[in-house]
Amino acid sequence: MAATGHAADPVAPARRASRARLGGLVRYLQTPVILSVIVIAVAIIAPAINGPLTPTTIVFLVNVIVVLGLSVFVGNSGVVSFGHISFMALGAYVWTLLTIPTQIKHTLYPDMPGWLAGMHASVLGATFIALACAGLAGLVVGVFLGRLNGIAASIGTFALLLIVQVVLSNWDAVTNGTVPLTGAPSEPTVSKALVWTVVAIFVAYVFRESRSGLRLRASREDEAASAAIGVNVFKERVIALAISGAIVGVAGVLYADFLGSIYPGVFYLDITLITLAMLVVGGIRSVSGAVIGCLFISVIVELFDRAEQGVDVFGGTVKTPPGVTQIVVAAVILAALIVRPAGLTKGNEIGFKSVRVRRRQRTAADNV
Amino acid sequence: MRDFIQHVVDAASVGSLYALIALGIAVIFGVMRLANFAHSQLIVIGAYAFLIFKGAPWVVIVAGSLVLAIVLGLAMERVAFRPLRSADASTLFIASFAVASLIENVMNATVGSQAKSVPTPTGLSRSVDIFGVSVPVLSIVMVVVTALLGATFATFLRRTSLGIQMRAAAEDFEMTRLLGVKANKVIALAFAISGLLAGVVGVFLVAQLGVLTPTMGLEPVIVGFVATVLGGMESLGAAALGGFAVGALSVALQVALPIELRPFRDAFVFGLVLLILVIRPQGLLVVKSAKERIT
Repeated sequence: MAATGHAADPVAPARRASRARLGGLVRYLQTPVILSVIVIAVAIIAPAINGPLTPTTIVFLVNVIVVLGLSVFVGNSGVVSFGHISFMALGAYVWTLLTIPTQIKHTLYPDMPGWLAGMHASVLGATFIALACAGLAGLVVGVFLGRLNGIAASIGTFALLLIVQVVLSNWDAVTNGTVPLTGAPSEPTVSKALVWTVVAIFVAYVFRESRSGLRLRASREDEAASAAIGVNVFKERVIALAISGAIVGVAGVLYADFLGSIYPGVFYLDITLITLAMLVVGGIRSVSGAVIGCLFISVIVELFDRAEQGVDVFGGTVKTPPGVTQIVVAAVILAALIVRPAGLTKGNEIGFKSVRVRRRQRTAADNV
Repeated sequence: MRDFIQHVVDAASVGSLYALIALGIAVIFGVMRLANFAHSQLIVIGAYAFLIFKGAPWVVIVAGSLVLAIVLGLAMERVAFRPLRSADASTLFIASFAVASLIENVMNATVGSQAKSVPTPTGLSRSVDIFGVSVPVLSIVMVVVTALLGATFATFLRRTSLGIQMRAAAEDFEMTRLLGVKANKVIALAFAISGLLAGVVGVFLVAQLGVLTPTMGLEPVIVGFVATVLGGMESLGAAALGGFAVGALSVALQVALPIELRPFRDAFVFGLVLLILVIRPQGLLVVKSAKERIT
């Protein structure tokens, strides 16, 4: 596509080809670059406008990573998973358990089994171990549930979320049950979260555009037809679920790092609903949709959270009763599903089209 | 032997609760492919009638429960699910989560999120001796009411015109519409029935617990989902049977599991869902008309 030049072009063919390749690369990378710039800009500008907003910024970035991870599987395969927060929980618990210093484990958690109490890893090392565990978990879940479609898949993955919740809440010796698990070296920074967010953006985008991603998207549009042209739908889903699990696992690590102490309730229905809503509101079919939806819902949450604390309007303080934020968010999700089912981005990626692409689209539209 | 009978009684009363929930979920899934997670809030609103009509005669409170649950069911259909009727099942499932969250948070903001205890009919908390086994009156009432409701519902579906329209709609919705059945009427009716069943469950839950919280419907409904997956949605009877099966299973696991694994009982129940879905990858939820047809 990018290699078609004008015959009258005075540039030598070899240089023309290399320039076209470069143009193709620029066009290929523009979406993830623009998205990264948006996210970085938000992370820098938001605190500048609103004062110290570091916590909200990190939560926003964690949500972006979760939603990007979701979009790798849900967006490309069209199978809506309600179990992805399990991977987040896994990442968070693995990281926390590995980074709590051994002496603290002995004093705070005397019941912890010896093999676990003796284990320790550096913050970064534990991050990668958590990533690998979550990715592996995604692979295993994919092997078991990869053949499910539609509502059966949604309920199956939901059952997974419930199982993880029950296990985390009751495996007292390891997870400390429903009591918060503390003691991990918590040093959350916006820049750390930003680095992982940008990585997640690129991974999600490159996967979407890869052969595997294309095959998966083909199966989303028509499973039978894609299988007929040789797509192994099951295999592609397993691959996507592993990558997606790993990304969501990293988000779990960052969230645990941010919270300092974690308990099972953090990784349950509320966060499942809000991240799925972000994905759907933004547009399930594109990476841009994941980021835009996240930004949209986060801004609403932030605005109404502020209103709950009281906002000065014309000298008087307006204060909304507590709980209004959740009500508004739920209403926005419903409204978005009804009014704009394809999402804010309608499944398109953000980017500048070259003049040639635009001209071709215009002629194509005219010919219809 | 006495222990065994005791367990059977437990299983039957828990099972009847799950059967009612499974029926309430299946009746909607049949006509519009909606796995309604917000069913939990229908149960909650039914339960909160005990607070709203506090002090009134029990008959009024129970009637209030049923009416409130039915009205809320109809309202969520009209406001949220009717505009989404053409959406796919997964989108509907997400929407039902949003509806549940919306209602739960409205309740948090109005009646508060803390648990409230309410008086319940004292007659229900008594026990009677049957063959040397002490059986709570409430259990007997639950099983009898469930059986009666089930029988009434089955007769309604078989014998009345509306019931037959509903069964036809569950079989092939488009075809049924082409034959002149009003979609809005059938679906609204399904929500009303679902609300009625949820109201009954709400009453039973309050009678059992004596306490109200805006999240009290959550766990029973999750288990109700397990029951519907277990029984399959192909027939409402199967869904109800699934409810009793889950009741029996959870009591059996409670008895049979070693002490150290007992806290994980629910994980085994949910694991069963996964197992069934893995063994039958096409899913038990597949109704004839829901299967993809290649044209």
